[in-house]
Amino acid sequence: MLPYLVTIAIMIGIYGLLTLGLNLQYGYTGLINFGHVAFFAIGAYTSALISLAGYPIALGMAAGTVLAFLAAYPLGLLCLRLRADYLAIVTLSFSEIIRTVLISEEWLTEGTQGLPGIPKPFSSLSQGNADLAYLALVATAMLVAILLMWRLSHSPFGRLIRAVRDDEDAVRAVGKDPAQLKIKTLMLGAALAGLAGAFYAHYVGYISPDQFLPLVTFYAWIALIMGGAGTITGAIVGSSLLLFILEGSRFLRDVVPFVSEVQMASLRLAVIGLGLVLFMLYRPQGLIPDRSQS
Amino acid sequence: MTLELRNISKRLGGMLVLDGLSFSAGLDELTGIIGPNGAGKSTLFAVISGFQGGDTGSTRFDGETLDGLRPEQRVGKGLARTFQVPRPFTHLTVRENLAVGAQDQAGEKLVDLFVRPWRVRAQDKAIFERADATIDFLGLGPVAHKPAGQISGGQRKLLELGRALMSEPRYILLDEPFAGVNPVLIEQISERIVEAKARGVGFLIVEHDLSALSRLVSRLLVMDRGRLIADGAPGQVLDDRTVQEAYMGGVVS
Repeated sequence: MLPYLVTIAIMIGIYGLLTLGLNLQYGYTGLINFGHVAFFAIGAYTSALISLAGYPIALGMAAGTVLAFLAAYPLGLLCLRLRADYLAIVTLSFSEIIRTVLISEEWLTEGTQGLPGIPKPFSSLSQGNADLAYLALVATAMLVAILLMWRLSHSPFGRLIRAVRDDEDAVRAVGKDPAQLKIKTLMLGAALAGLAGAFYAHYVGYISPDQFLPLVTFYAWIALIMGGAGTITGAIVGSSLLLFILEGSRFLRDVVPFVSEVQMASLRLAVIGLGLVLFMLYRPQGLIPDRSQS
Repeated sequence: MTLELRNISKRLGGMLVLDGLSFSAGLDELTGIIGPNGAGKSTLFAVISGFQGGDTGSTRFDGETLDGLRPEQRVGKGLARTFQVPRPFTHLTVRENLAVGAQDQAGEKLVDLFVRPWRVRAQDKAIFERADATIDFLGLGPVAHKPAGQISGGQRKLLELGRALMSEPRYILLDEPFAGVNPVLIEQISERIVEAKARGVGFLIVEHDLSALSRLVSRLLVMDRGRLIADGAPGQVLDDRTVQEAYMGGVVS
C-alpha cells in the first residue's frame, strides 16, 4: 500500500505544479490556456532527451523548464493582443501541433514508439527509498513554487494581473500594457508546466506522444475548477482531489457488481463527468474560493 | 501648455463622426464639452486618449506629438482618462484599485520583485499612503476595503476620478462625471475637480448636465455632428442661437 500512496503523492505533486501554472494564467490573469499540455510535453521531452544523451538529470530538468518558458513567448506575442477566446483556440492547436511534431520528428523523439529508459534520480537507492526521495524532491519543488506564487500574488504584480483579468482597457487607461503582463504570466505558467513535465518523465521512465493528449490540459482545468481558481490552496486541493477521483474510481470495481472491465472504464469516466457537473452546479467557485470573487 | 488638436477626422461605419475638428485647450484650465447624443464626444475622447486611431489629423500634448502612441504610453506623458461607464477592477478593493493607478511601480516588474524586495515594499507603502490620502480626498473611506464591484454608482464615479488622479497626470479627460449621480455627490465631485485644478491638474470634461458643468468650467466647447459649433465662456455659449437649435434638436423651433 505504501508504494502506491507514494506514487499518488508524486502524481499529486506533478499535477499540482501543472495546476499552479494554470492558476497563474487563468485564476489570476484570466488567460484561457487550453494548451497547457504542450509545455508539459516540452518539459518532459527536453529533460528526457538531455538525460538520455548522458547529461545530468538536473540539467535536463532545468533545460525543460527554461525551454517551456521560452516556447510560450512567441505564442504570447502571436495572440495576446487578440480576444480571450482566440487564445483558447490557438493554445489548443499549439498543443496538438507539439504532439504532432513529437510523433513525426522520429530522428529526435522516436515518434510513436516513445522514449524508454529515461534515467531516474536516486538510482543508487532501493526502489522504495528512491521513490520516497523523489517524492521529497517533488515536494520541495512544489514548496518553492508555492512560495513563488504567494510572493507574486501578494505583490503589486499580482494586483496588476488581477486588474488585467477584470478589465484590460481600464488597465491601459492607467498606463500599463496588458499584453506585456499576459506574456509574462503565460511564460511563467508554462515554465511550471515544463518543470512538471520533467518530473513526470523522470518518474515514469517512459514517455510517448499519446501521454500528451489535450486530456492532460483538461485534467489541470478540472483540478483548478474543483479546487477553486485564483487561490494557491485551491490549485493544490484541486489536484489532490483530481488524483483521488482518478485513482479512487479504480476501486469502484470492488463495490460495483455485474459490470465488465470495459464497462467499468466507461463508468469511471461517467462518474468523473457527473462529479464535475455537480461541482459546477453546486460549487462553481470551487472548494477553496477566491474571496474577492463574489 | 496646451492640448492641441488639429483637423481630427474619424469615420465609423460610413458615418463621419469627427469632421476635421480643431481646438486647443490650456492644460491648467477646466474646459467643458457639450453636444447632443451622437455629436462625437465619446469618439473624440477615444481618439485623444489613443483608444481609437483618428483617420486624419494630429494631437499634441504640451508641444509633443501623441500620434502613434498607445493609450498606456499617453498616460505616461501625463494624459489620463476616465470612462463614461466606470470601469473599476471589480474584484480588487477600492484601495487596491487606486494603488494600480500609481505609475512606475518596481513591484510590477518581476526582476525588481525578487531582486529588490525592500525597494518594492517601501514603494508600495508610499503608494498605499497616497491611495489612502486619495480615499480621504474623495470621501471613499467607508468603502475603502470593499471590492469595487460592490460599491454604488456614484462611488464608482469617484473611484474612476481617484484612479486617474493616482497616475499623477497633468491633464484628465473626464467622461460624464455627473451622469447618474445624485445632486449632493455632483457638488462633491465638482469641488474635488476644482481642488485638483488648484493642485495643477487640468480637465477636459464631457457632460450632459449643463448647469453643473457651466458652473464648473471657464470655457465651453459645443459639438454637433463631429464639428465645433461654439466656443467661449459658458454663459455666452449657452445664449448662442445655433447652440440652442443644435442642442435642443427638434424640440424648440
